[in-house]
Amino acid sequence: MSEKSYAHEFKKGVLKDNPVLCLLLGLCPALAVSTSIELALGMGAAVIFVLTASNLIISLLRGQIPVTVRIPSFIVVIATFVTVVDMTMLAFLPPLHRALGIYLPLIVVNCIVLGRAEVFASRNPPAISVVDGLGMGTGFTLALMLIGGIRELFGTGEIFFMGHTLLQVNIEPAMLMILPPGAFFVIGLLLGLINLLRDR
Amino acid sequence: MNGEGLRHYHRSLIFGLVGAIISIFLVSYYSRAIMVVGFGVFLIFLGVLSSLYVIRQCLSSDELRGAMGTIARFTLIIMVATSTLAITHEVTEMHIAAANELELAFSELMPGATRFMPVLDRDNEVIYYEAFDDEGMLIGYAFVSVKDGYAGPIEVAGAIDLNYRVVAITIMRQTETPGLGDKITTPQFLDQFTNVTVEELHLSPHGEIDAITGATISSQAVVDAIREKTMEIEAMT
Repeated sequence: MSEKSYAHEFKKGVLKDNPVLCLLLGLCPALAVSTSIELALGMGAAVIFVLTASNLIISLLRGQIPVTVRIPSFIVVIATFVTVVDMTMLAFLPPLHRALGIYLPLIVVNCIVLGRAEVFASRNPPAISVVDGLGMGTGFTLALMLIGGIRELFGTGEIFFMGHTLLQVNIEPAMLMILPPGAFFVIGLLLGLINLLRDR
Repeated sequence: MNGEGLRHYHRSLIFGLVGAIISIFLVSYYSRAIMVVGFGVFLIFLGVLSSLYVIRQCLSSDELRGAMGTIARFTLIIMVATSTLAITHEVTEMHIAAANELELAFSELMPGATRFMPVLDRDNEVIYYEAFDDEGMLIGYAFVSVKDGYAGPIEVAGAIDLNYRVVAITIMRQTETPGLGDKITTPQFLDQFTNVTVEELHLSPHGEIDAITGATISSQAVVDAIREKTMEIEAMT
């Protein structure tokens, strides 16, 4: 594989095949934990780790995993990594763990992770699979941060990150944006915008 | 493989899968290293059992080898997965237990409460806990407060009722002088706090709490820790 195709695989996950905004995968966490940039980043980091690690392992085992039980095998690998993240976060980052709640263990059934295992990692060599996982994970994280940023900005009037206020605007905070309907509005408008740009 | 053999082959796979799922769940929630070894043995047993099943039913030796290979590989994947989880558990156990230790301390302070819900600030850090009884009624608040004593930070856990009267307190961590400052952990000192209001939470003669002789700074730190946190909770509720 040449340098160019590594870059291509990475860019594909972020732009053309962005899991949330283009493939419409993983919408459940995208709707639920996008109330702030910080939360979105935490969720994104967990997904990047799980996606990259499971892509690597599945790609390494691709000759060994029996075809008849490949989906259970993928799930076992993914569930293991998710549980590792879950336990580690509970031990060292309890506030983030509390905020992510059920959506952290739910990464197991995230269609992005299983999808990449089935479509990409089980058919490609390890290095390119890792790049694919990183790209898809980054795309997911950026999409989540975009949605989270918009909701946080209009919902609270400021963007708060790592204990600092990054951006503040003088608008009346619209509680609706933080509430679940806000997530649907933002994702819907973003999808519309992207389709508009694509048609041009 | 004929239809009959195929059906038995699938059945044995389902056995293995169910065992695997159960073991993953159990191991991730309750695991001890010894349990993983137990489950490993259980899975091998399951694998042998299902292989025997297939041996009895399968016809050609090629199919047999294929089926055995599948079972062996899947069992191996699951064993590696459970071992990974067990190692992670060993590493994180202590840190997670520290959080549970708090819950345990709270239930001792407030025996009527069955559930403690954290109240968070913007950074998702816990400010205090709301204590609920088994009917889901709010019956008080529980908290942890840290204050510098004579020889280091003193971590105090306390419970107060809805009128902001202290129910009970306990010392979670302290490094005060042995035989002197560390008397703050004795029941004689801690029991004085029961039923005391915020206004009375001062050392005597200004309040209700008698300081330990020769350990005024340690006593003061405990009283201040409780009073400041109680006032914070009172201001927020």
